[in-house]
Amino acid sequence: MKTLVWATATLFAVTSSALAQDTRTVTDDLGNVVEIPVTPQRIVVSRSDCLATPLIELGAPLIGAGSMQDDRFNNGKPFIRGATALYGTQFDADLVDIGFINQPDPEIIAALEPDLILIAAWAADNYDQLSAIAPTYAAACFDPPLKEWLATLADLVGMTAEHDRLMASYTFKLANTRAVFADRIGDPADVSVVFADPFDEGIYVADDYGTFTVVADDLGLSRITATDLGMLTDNGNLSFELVEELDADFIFSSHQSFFGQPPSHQMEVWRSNVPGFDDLLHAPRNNQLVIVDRSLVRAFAVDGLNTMLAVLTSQIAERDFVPLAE
Amino acid sequence: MSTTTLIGFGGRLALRVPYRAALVSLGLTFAIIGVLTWSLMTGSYPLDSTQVWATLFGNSPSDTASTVVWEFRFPRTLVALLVGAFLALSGAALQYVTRNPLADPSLVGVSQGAALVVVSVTILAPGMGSYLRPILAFGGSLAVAALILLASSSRRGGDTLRFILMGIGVAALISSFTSALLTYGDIDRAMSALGWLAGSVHSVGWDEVRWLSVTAFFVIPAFMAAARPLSAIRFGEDVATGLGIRVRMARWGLIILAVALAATAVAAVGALGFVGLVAPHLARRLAHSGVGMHLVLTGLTGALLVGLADFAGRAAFAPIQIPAGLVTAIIGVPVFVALILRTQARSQL
Repeated sequence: MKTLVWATATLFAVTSSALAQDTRTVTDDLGNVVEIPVTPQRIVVSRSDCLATPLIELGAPLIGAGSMQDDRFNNGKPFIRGATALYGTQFDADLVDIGFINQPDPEIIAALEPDLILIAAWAADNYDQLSAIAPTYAAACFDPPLKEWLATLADLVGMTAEHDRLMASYTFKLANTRAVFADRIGDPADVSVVFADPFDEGIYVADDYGTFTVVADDLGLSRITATDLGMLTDNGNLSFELVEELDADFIFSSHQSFFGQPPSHQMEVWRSNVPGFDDLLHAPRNNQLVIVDRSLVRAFAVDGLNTMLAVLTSQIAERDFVPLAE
Repeated sequence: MSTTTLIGFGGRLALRVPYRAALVSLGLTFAIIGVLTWSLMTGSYPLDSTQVWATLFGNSPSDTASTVVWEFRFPRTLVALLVGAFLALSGAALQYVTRNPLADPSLVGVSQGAALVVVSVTILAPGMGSYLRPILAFGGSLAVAALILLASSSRRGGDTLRFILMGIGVAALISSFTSALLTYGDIDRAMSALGWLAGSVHSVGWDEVRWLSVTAFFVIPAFMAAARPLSAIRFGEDVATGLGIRVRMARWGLIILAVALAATAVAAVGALGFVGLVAPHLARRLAHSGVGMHLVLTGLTGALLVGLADFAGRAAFAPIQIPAGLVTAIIGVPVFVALILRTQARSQL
């Protein structure tokens, strides 16, 4: 009898400790002090790009995410910006659509009974509502450098080990790629690259252009930035009249598959806004203008870094190109 | 027209009530109660009417149900109703004062001032925090409204046409700054600001209810008391002066009241347009009455319009939340046009 009582008591103690979640206190990017589970089991996020996509890559227990919808992508069904393009991820019974990324439906979130909610700091006007459901962390996820944010997010959801494993694979591939660049080019700093997207208002150039910036800098390429071009902020539209300032060995530009815009559309945008650009600039004149999917450039995932690494390697180091004359 | 007259405050407040108008206001009140009830019963979270009633009377089936009813549905619906009444009353006052049937709160820059400040903060200083939006929006509304009022008043006093033109000009200038920020700002932050610009009650809570209720407590009685000068002013300055109204003081007083109501509403839910323009006309077509009763009908019509718009926006395409401002336009414009066409047809017969 005594043994039975001890066994029951022990079982109860073990079960109770498993059910009660360990928590820790963190301060979010709006200054809110939040007590969050050390290893959350039911995560809901408002943003699909900088929050849902990296969590899906990590294999975190994500049960709800904000969506976008456009007739020209994913057969018109709601999609997760980033993850749907990268992994083909769809909403289903295990990953519920909670509404538009900037205006999620709080009742759907409440029904999911999450233990952690992550939202964007610049779209946190519903913070009080969401905090009534579960601990809510507002993240300025676009502000820190990409690699720093991925590490921060992994730490928030208690998956640092998985993040480190993913980053180790990228670091390994980066080391191999550097060897390829050394073999074919010598000093990568001799190669100049710029990421530029023409719009009606001018040619958009930024200091930080997602995975392109990270990988180009990791490889040691010479990157032309908005700051280099004398812009007042870290991004902006360069006047079409100053297009020659973009002259570089390679120009990278992006098309948006989720807006139904194939690469040919982006080439047409270049032609219509900068007539004769393919004679004017070295890169397009020598077939060194590269159009990549913006979902890849803006991917908040280690997988995005790996893919961008492959793109830059194949386009720059694994083929012959015509260097820009000094 | 059969009427009765309600007299209060020692005769200082007299409200002539035609029976039809009284019946219409009663109908609108029941409709508003219906919208409130319907809104409490409906949503993405599965709750039947028994569970909602149990929650309202303190026997909630779960903590989540209590949160959904008390923290989401109830304050949201109350704010929609109050904001609708505020914007409608503001529009009615401005239409009377300017004697311009197209006047609404955007004429005095309330929406544009709030929009500029909120968009600036969202795009240029996103770390400042969304919870500051209402305060900033209120400040922006008052600043731009004050600018227009000051610029349009001269030593000889305010002129209605000058006021309207100055309002249109300054509002257009402010809007161009806002457009520039939305065009050149970060796309995701601009999208966040656009949600607010469309006028949405999706994130309001009891703070907004309290804030709007306190404003209503002080400003709406003043509006009712203003029925007498408004009645005179709508016949023109000379007639009003002849009736003993201090026209200049009454006009600016009413404009300030209208600005205060609209600024409070915009600060709570964003730039929710169209209600201030359309509600006074809808109310007038529902029942003819004197100014005081018309203000009552206008307030009720505005409340019903925004209450319905919010309910439709939240339930029609869930989980997508359609901003109430878009729905008020979608519901209101056809109703408005139909009423005008029906009135024209009757007058031709």
